Amino acid sequence: MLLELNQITKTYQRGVEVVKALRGTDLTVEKNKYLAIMGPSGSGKSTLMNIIGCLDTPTSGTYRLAGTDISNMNASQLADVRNGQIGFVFQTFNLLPRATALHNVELPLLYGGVRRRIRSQRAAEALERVGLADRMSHRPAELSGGERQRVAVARALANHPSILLADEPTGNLDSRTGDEIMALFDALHAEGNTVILVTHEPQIATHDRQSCIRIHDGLIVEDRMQD
Amino acid sequence: MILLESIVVALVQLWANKLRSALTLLGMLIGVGSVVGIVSISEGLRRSVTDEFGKLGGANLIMVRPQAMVLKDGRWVRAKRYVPMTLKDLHLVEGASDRIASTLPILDRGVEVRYHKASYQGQLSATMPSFIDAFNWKVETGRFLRDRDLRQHQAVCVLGQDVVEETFGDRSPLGREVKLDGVRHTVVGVMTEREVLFNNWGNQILVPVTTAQRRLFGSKRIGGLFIHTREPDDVPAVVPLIEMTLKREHGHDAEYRIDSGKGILDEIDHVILIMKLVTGGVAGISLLVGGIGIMNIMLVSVTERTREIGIRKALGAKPVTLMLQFVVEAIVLSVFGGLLGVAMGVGLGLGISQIIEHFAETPFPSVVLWTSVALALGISVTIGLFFGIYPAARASRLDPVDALSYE
Repeated sequence: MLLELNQITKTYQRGVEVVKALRGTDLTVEKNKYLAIMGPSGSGKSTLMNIIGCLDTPTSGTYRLAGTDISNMNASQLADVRNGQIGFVFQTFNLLPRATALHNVELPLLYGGVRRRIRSQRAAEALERVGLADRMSHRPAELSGGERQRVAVARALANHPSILLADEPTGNLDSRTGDEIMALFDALHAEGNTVILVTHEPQIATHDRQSCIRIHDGLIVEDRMQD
Repeated sequence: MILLESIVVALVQLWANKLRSALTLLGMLIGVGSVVGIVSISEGLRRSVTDEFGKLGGANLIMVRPQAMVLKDGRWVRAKRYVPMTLKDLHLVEGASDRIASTLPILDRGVEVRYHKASYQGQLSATMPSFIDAFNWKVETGRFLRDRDLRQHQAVCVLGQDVVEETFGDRSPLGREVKLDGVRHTVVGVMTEREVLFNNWGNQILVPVTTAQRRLFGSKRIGGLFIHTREPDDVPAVVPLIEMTLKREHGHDAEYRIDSGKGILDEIDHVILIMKLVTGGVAGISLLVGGIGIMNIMLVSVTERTREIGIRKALGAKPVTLMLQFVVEAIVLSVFGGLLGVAMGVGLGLGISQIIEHFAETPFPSVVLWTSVALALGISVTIGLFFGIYPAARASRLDPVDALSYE
């Protein structure tokens, strides 16, 4: 079992308001699973994603990732886990605007302590994998939306993570480019990667090889698991 | 490695915000520049004065004079015993130490030089042949006083440039007779042009001390002694020997006033050191202002780059990594400003030394004290570090989730 979430709750304070974002969620994900997490805005799906991605720690409950208990790690340890195990893809791409595509992809490798020559090599390989071998020295401003997202995917793959975590990856793309990106994820899944997608679009969620869970008001309400 | 990446990011940031960076650098630039410039000029002043002094043979010069008045309980009172000096004392002192290179009498007064219709008020110095070596002054034409002149009480004299100009004009005075306060003397030499520490030596008339005692002063007394030691560092050891020699001869209650060039130089060094510290310190305050400017800009930078910080954290940058990155950025800023400041300070020192040389007509060396440069750079790094830590800490403590959703 790659990922085990057990009775996860997340409560935080927004001004005077106390928000219960997650109210006891259980989730298990095996290796090479293709999971879609669906839910409306405010359902807690972003919070769930942040916890899965080790960007945030749960208020209570346990989270085991690749056999290790993440729940009580400090900021520095979580950073290491993110670096080695998680590959993020964001809706707004979140690339460094003043760096080249290659340098953007190198970033997780840099933080992972990989030496310069090997770093460039692996980053170039990742960019080739997503079909951007000829755009390595371009800056994000010089790339189209689809190309930027592909750079983001390459960056996510750079450190060979356990999980690819995508938050509305096609949200800022037109439908054709969106399809291309989804095709890329399919291919990556077929190659053995574990893919977790967070979305509110049903078309994205319905897919042959995909499992899908629905989250509403901090609780998982539907669990359609494929084999 | 992370350090190199941080430096590269810092430079990229600097370049991307040229105006802002330039304004921030200005604080450090002015601070470092003024410290380096001030220290440079102070040191130039010290060297200029010291060199001039050295030309005089001043650093190893001791002046001994019998004391007429002494300072007792804060008031000047008449000395118990005033013991006038003679050439006998000169010979005694000469033999007092082998660290003494020369002893010369102090015997001078104003004198009227007359040649035909021309008249000139000059300064008569009764001295000995070793004068030119001791004071490093050369003869331009003719010759200087000789031992024979002294032995035979010859009425000869050597003139300074101004004396010759005023009394002889363009003509050579050599071999001619002039009247010194009415007493006929033959001119045997002319000294070179000389001005030291704003004193023009051209008004000197040099005569043999024995002749002057007999013909002009009517007394065996001399006003004191000029003593040159072999090295300036010999002075502290020689001074007590001189005093001991004289007191042994004249009694222990004989009072002497002893001044040394080294003592004056040490005083000058001391004063200039204080000057350096005070002015340098004041200039250093602007360094503080520079540092505050850096902290200010770094805080702005951190806020502006909140999203970027969130991305880096998401990709695995640890809090300590972010801290390092931003501290490095602050240090790059401060060191850059510091380097430019050093350049400015050196330029300032050079420029001002040229101006002084031009207007004061004194050599004023442009000195760059590399220790002050190293100190200034060291301070730059420290300031970057100190003022960069707080903004860097804020960057490192940002919550990744919040940072990523920052607009």
